[in-house]
Amino acid sequence: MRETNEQTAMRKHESAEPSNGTVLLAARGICKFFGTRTHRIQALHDVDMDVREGECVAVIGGSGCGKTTLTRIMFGLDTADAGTVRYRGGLLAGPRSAAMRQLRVESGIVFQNPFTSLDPRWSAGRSIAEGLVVRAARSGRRRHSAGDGEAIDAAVRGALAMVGLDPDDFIGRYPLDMSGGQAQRVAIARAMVAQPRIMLADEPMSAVDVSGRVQILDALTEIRRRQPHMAMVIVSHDLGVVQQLADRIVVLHDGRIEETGATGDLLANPQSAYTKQLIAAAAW
Amino acid sequence: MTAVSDDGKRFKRSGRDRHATGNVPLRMRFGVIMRSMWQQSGGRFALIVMACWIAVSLLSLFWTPYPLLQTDGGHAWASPSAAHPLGTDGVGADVLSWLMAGSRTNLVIALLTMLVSAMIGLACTAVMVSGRRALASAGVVVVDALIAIPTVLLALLFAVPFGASIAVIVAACGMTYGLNMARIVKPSASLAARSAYVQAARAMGVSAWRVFFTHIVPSTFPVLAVQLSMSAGTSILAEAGLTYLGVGVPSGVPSWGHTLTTSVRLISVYPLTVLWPGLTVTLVVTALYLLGDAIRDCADPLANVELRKLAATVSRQTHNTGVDA
Amino acid sequence: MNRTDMKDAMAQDVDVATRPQLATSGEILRVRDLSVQIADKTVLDDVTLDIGASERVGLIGASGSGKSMLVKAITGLLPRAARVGGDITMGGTRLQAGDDAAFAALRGRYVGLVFQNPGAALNPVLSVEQQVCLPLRLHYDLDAGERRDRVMTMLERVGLPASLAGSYPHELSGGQQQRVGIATALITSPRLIIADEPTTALDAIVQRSIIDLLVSLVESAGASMLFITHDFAVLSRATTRCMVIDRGRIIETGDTAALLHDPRQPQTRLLVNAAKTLTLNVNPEHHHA
Repeated sequence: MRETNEQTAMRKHESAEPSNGTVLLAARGICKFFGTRTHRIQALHDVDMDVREGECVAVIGGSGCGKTTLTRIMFGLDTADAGTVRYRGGLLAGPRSAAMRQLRVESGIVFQNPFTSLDPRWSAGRSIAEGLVVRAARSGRRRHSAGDGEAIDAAVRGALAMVGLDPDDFIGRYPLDMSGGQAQRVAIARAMVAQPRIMLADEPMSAVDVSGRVQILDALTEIRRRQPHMAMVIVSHDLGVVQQLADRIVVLHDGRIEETGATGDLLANPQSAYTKQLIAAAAW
Repeated sequence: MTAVSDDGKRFKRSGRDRHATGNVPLRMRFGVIMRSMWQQSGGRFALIVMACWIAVSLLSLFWTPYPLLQTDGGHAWASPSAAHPLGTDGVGADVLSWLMAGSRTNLVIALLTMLVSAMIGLACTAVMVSGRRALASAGVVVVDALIAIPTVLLALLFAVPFGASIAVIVAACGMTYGLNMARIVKPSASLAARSAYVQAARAMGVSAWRVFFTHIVPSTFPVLAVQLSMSAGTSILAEAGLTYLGVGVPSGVPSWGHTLTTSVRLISVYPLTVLWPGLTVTLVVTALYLLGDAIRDCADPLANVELRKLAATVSRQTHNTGVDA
Repeated sequence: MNRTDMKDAMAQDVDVATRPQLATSGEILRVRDLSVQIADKTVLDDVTLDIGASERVGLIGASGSGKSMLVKAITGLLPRAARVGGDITMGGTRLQAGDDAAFAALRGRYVGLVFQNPGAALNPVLSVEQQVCLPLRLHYDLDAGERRDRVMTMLERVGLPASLAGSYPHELSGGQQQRVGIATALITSPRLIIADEPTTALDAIVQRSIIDLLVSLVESAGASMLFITHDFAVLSRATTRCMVIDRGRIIETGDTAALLHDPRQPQTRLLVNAAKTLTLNVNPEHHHA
């Protein structure tokens, strides 16, 4: 298949076939403070969290519980005031550390609102290709060959098809001419195009209407099916979505981990009062 | 690949990594931009004046009605006639010839001022939206301090070592307009610098410089287009003023300011001679101001739906030609 | 003055201010053949709807279906360029499109609005007390003491402690901000509350408490409500009757429970199925047992 060739071509960092259950991303003792020196608020209290190869972890909790802060720290978008994050064993220490650079290359991130996370002056195709173009330019050769262009073209089209968008129709489209569901799927395609090892989706549906949410859910489900080795971290307060996507749930409340467990167990048999409340609110 | 349309071929050649990006070849985009500008009355006026300006500048390289240095002492301050359509000046030189030759000088000054002010402005903006807080706030302070220096003072300072020259005008205008531009562009630039799409790009490992030129600068496009064309227009006004003060274009070099300066001395006696350079300057400056608005409205895919439609159709067609092959 | 008295007093104010037939006719809002075109694009097409006294009606549709435009048309907040046809009757007054003064007189007094994004809908330089007080100042001639009494009572009813009266919007959580929004909408005892996706920006637990609060306040005031949402779960909790809007047309209308159970139009079925897909599939009663 053409796509398999692309996969091997694009995924230069691929080493041996991963064994199931290897810890990819490990956070230990994460603390984070906000506010001024005199008026400090602790957003995260000594949080530990692991993400393993091939699993989908959902981080849930009410707004202000610290779920976005925690995942941003784990993916190197923010720094912790205390604690460590390791990616495949390497310590994330500053933007120049080897582990951070590796994480940048091997991770894909989907932000909350597609209309602010996609450059409004860029067509979908250009946005999706951005990472690949930069990587191709950096791979040592100053001049790109025509082959590079073809490979990137194929990868972008493949990514659009994977999220259920017609490549011919969307590659030249601007975010302004898309619905929320379509724009967010373009953002997912951008995160997926370089075949990441690990993906973060930070409340990917909260800025989108119901029909858009279903499209996004379908796209993420399809990605899980096609990329079983990829790890996924999804931040959400929407338990219906979490139930269908996640293997494991981490419940965060007031900056502390309230409870964690396999999706089915946790939803059917919640231990903490807060989790019960969350489930009751979600089930109407 | 056989039998590809002209456009298709162009796309293939310039394609490379642009293949997938949904980008449109520059020439096609240019065509759509021109068409949209032509459909606006302001844009059409600006395009016509610009075209005349450039055409006259080119023409004056090869031909003017009279050689510039040919004077006719007997016909000084002559009224318009068949021989001299715009009359003659105080030494009997043909005003039309001097204005035609002057348009070349002013074109060069306007273009260079735009270039210099863009470079200075963008450099200052880059510093002011930089990720390093200390550097950014230092940048803001420096820009705010320098912005207080007036163009004329700066030109007088430059004229001390360099004498009257085009370079003095360009340097003085470029510097002051550049600083002004930086100040005006900064809010939209820092909005973009903090946006989620810049965050997304940085998280993918795109370098700060690349982000600045591919995301942040384009996001300031509406302001940039207007500011740049205004600095071009204002440079023409400044040229006239500075030349009058004797620190602008050196005497003997044709420019609209030069024509204005030579004729303004006897304005009470021969008012008509001042009219021609004055009209030219007014017309061109107005056109430049309108040009900025037209570019803002027509060359930005966010504002011009035709550009977005073009991108959508081109990427569809390109793929289809690929399938045929 | 105790709370019941005050409510009566406010209701009286409203009655005096609007036409006398209001009290007798059960009709709060009557819209006939409302069409709106903006730049040759039809955003509303022949919309006809009635909201009776003490009725809670839902309006559901995908984004871009015309929900927000309908609200804007009813409240007279359409852009100037809009071409409007049809009839809007509120409280016995027939409103002419473009009659800004008539609409403005009704907004905030006869109609209370609760907005989608409380953080953006509240004025950042007004304290909670000033914010809630604003409609009272605009529409009623009360002295400062009376106004303060009413505001404090209202804050208590929406579950905000009196200590927050002097706070500014940025100091409040999303849920608290929306409580302020609700207090502002209800302070003048309007007969109709229009809630435009009031809980979309909030998380599930807060969402639930806000909906419950809104419903109980509307119910106890005897007002009617038009509830715009794209979330069926919220809809079933807040409304008894609902309408489905698609591309500017009302395509289906009926009892909320029945419509959710058995949607007739294909577009409605699509929406209902989407909502079902996204809803958590466990029975909460089971866990409490």
